[in-house]
Amino acid sequence: MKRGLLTAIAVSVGALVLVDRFVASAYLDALGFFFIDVAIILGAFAVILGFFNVLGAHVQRVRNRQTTWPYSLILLLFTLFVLAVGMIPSMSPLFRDVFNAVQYPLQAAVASLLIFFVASAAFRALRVRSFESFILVAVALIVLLGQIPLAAELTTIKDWLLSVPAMAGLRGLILGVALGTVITGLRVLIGLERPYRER
Amino acid sequence: MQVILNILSQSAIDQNATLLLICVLLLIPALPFLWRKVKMGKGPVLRPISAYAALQNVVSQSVETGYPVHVSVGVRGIGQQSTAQTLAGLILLEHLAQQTAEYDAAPLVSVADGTALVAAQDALRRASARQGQGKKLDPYRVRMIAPEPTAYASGVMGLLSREHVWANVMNGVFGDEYLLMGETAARKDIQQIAGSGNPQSLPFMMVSANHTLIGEEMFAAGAYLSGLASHIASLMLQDWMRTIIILVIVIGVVLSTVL
Repeated sequence: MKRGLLTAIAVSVGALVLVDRFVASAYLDALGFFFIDVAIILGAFAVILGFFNVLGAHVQRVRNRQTTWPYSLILLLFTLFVLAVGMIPSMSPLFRDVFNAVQYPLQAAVASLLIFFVASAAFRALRVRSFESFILVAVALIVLLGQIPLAAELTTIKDWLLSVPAMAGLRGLILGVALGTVITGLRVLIGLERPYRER
Repeated sequence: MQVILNILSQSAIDQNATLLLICVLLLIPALPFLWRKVKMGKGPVLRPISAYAALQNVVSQSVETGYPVHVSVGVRGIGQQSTAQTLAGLILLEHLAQQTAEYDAAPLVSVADGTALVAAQDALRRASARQGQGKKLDPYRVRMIAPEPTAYASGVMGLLSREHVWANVMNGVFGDEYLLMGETAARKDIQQIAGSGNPQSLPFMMVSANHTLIGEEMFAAGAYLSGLASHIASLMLQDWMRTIIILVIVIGVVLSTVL
């Protein structure tokens, strides 16, 4: 009974929001917006759950004195500090500084590591071990050399490689993902897929 | 055609969404029809996908060694544009959780979104409950790392470096940051199975993972691993739609050339 009710609610809400997409009606618009708002509010509560999960996992690590527990302690102290700063209105400039001077530079630093990882990955990928890897290396070389004004023919070949075979593959990939997305949505919409309850 | 457009303009139906409406109306009865066909044993023969075949070995090796499999469902959650890809990751997670729960173990899961956290915890709980171990499940087996993709990647890099993980399975939405995690696992010789629908991250997956789920293959976990009739029917419908799209493209090319 409970399972059937859950499926009925999910299917009807999904169908209503979908119909709202097709039919221009003030009543349906209001209902559609209401359900989307409910989803956004639920998402916000999930963020709070995520916050408590981070706290809980690191408290457990400190309590059990796991090998990296000092890092967990630092994380907990900073989490509580940023939370406190964020909740006091008079400290909002400090809150902004925490993001501008700590969070964003650290993120940029991690992202800048990407170039070294790309080099290491390319080194592994560009070893000729099979016919396929030979084609990969050959195409990579043509595209790399085509970037510099060495020979006009190479640039023409590079442009063709990027705009014809590579673009065809890319479009096929995007189309496949779009079809998969539509079918997954449809499965949930007609109740064949029920991620919200036991199968 | 003009008659149809006149009828549409007089109705409350949004003309811009008419094509989408026609597709939905055609697809809604087609899926249950194919589902019934598969249930009657008239399903297709699925082509082998190496990533799904390797996944079975990864689970048994992980259980034998006692080291867990790290699973990631991507850097997004549920309720966004990429919900379907996150759901694909969750389906794969549930299968892995089900397989490992039979041996009283559970995968180690990391997420980057609150909604994915709740869904992943529920997937593990359901798998444990089916084996009668619901109460034993560690709630921190699913870890929220960080909502920012780069911060999430650095957290997972730490997790893969510090914890003894047998394999790394990543199926969901990933961007460039995948390479940071993928290369860390590759350097530690951790077996990797990765899948995404994002063309930006797929080349990185191809070079650092042992097996890759390319684009739509990531949605086939339910059909290949669990043999679910609804998922096999979905694959059939996807093939139908793909054929229709190819025909439309070919007819369009011919017509625009001839006319």
